[in-house]
Amino acid sequence: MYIVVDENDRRPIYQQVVDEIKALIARGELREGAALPPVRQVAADLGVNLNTIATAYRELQREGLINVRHGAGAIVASRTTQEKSDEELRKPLRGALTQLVLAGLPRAQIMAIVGDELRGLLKGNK
Amino acid sequence: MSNTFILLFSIDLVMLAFFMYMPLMRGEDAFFGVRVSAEVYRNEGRRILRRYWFWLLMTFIEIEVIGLVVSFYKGRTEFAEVATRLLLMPCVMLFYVIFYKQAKKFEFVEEHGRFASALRTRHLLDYTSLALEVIVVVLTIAPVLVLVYYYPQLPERIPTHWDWRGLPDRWTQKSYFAVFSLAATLVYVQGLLLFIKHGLLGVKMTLPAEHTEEYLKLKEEMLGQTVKLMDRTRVCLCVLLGSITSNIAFSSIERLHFLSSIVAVAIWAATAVMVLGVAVAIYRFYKIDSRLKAEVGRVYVQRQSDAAHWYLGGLIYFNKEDPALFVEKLVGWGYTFNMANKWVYLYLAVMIIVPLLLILPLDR
Repeated sequence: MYIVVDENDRRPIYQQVVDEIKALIARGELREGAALPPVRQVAADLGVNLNTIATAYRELQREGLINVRHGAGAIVASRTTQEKSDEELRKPLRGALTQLVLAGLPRAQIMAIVGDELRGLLKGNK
Repeated sequence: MSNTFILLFSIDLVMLAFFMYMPLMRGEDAFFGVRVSAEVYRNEGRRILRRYWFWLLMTFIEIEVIGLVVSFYKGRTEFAEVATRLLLMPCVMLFYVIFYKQAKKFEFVEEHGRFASALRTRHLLDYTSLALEVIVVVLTIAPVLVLVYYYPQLPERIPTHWDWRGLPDRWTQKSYFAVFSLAATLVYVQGLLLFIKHGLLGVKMTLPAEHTEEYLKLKEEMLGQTVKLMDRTRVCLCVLLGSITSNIAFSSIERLHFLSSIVAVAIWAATAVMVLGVAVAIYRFYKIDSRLKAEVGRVYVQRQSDAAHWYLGGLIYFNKEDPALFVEKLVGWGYTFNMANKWVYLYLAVMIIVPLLLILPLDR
């Protein structure tokens, strides 16, 4: 199990780390109670600043996905983020769909892509 | 020609062979510690390598001949023993660095910046065998107990050195220090190796974004083999140092003399197992590298920004930006320090100061 970071990606590194770990939790590869490696280890592997990874872990904690305890490291808390309103949840989806529509994809293809991605996310998830 | 000379000559030969092979160890991923294209590796690389080999061989022959000639006229081999050791090492290092500068001109700068990190934490407990630890503890304590028990019976003159049959050939005045310093060394070595093993598990592992799973698996296997080698060595060192330690009692007390020969056998056996263990490990490392080459296409992956922080052709790593303490060696198998990490000083202190404290009083 691993996370990938791309230096040429427009998202900041910490955001990429957050997204990668979220995806692993969503797919069920990172289960509740699983320990994340120390900040130092991930930072060294990826060649980034300690603060970058610490920020990513804090962000994940803020969303209630992991618990960071002193000495015990970071533990995956639950698979569901804390309550968000319907509107908050829809917003990023709307943004992503807008991209697909602007790319000129027909409705059927967009539906296929959405279905595909969703299946990929839910695969390890029973 | 003495046996020592032949032994030292073979050590020189092994060193020469190692330095000749070093630039090739990681293929084009670290040719003299420099990443080059397969094209350069096959053409210009071969030419650089042939010149490097030529100079190494010539220097080696020259130095050994000088040593032989001088020792012949002096009627002793000591000069050759010392001189070759002192001259050969800096010379081969120098040639390595000179030819590294030539290879550096062909460096292949990597464009892509996608890297992965494993999300597995390596715990010391997962790499610990309880049975082995029990054996190590017992073998460490046993010689101390033997010495404590027989201390009153030890004569005023106790042996400090033995020949290959386990018969004493050097003695010293009996004192707590003379009797127990070897046992203390044994405890220290065990502690040190455990300390290093613990640090090693946090080794930096930069993964490529492609074939990540295969690469990770093989690199973890490499780490596992290294840790196993350390464990085997720890047991062997226990037997080795423990045997020598208890031999202080066995060879100076009449009715324990028969144990002396058993100890000599144990020492030779432990040494043989240790050397064999290293040979087996080297073979396995080589195999893992071959599989990496075949399955991933890369033997060593690192970020371009990290690659710029290797010095002397990949012999020293110094990167202030890198929080890692242990990194995988760029040339050669095994792991090395990020010398810019301040924790290195703790390791160096433990590795240098403690042995000095143990050895210095002996010379007085």
